[in-house]
Amino acid sequence: MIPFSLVNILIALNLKETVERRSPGIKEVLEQTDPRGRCSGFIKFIGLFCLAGFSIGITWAYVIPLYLKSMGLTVEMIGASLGLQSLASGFTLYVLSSKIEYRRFLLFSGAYSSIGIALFGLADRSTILPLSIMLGTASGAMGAVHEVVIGKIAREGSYGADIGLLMLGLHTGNTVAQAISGFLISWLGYFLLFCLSALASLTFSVLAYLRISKQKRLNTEEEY
Amino acid sequence: MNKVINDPVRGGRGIKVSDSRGEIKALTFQSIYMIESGALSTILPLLMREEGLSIGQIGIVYSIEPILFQLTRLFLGALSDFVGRKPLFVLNGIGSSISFVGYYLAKSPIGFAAGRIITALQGACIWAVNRAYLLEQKGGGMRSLFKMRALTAVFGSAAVFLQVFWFQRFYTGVLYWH
Repeated sequence: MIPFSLVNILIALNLKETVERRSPGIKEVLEQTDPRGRCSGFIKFIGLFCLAGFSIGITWAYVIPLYLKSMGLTVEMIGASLGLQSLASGFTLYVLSSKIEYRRFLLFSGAYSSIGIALFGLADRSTILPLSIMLGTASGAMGAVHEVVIGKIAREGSYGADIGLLMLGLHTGNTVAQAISGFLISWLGYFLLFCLSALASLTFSVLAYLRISKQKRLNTEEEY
Repeated sequence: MNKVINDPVRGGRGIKVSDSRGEIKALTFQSIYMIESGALSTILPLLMREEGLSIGQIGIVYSIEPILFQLTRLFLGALSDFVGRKPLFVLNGIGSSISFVGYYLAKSPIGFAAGRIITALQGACIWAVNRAYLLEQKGGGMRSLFKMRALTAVFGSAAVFLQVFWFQRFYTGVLYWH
């Protein structure tokens, strides 16, 4: 693996810098990481990413392998299913990279990923293969929604701090969800857990769409 | 050539818009990084078992990474808005090399924990800047982010998938740790 790292060092040394460098004080950097310095709209997006992280954490982390195991699948089949999901997710993202109208795409992808997650909760041994592929594409669609929102919300000049804050929201939701999803499985069962994840995912997409539309409307009004 | 533009939000702080080769280089960097981290996620638990660590010790060693990663990533992201993205890409490459050597030499939980700390820091370096760098590419933007996520999923899973079948004997353990 070390030769891979050395190749990466060479690539990194050949990258062109995209930021006008200046020497920051530690206070200035820390101020950038403080969400209170952001507008209320941005803070709402941190909250929305928390919801998105909850949707991911409640099913994706360790619940899916346990769910598949509960159907009596062998470990090799579980591995194959997870591998298929990940490949389908990557393929979907690559296909979606040619999309142009991002705002409408938010709603479509959000709805599709929610349906994919909810249907996976109904899977049995005979439907696991197509539903795994569908879940993979749903995951790709959801990933695309996250990237669209990041691209729309993070501001030039503070991309690093803005993306860091949004991702902090995502991972906070993810961590909380992982901590409680074990209890939720025993309380609600797998199907309702997948429905909860689908609902959180759909809510994220719809609210993100509404907020981005509102932001765009405000920006247009300001121009006049 | 890089072109400097003014950013109205931040009061004129300069942003350079790079040409499209930057996108290809950054995506290649990300793909290689994902092969490394996918491979590491499979090999490392096996290596720890081989060195005689108990499952409890492995859990503790693993738990160091996420919190350190998140905290440093936010700070490094903000820092990169001032000092640039490139130094953090370089640090990720250097950190990867050091962590691989560290894991190879490690014989105790402390040694592996030190490796996880370096892994967390080098992971934070790249995840603090990869999206920002791609958003700053000319003609890249969100499409580049999609491609990055796609490559992350494909290369990460391919590395794990291949090694899982390579190390089929240890498969059950690997699956449930990841």
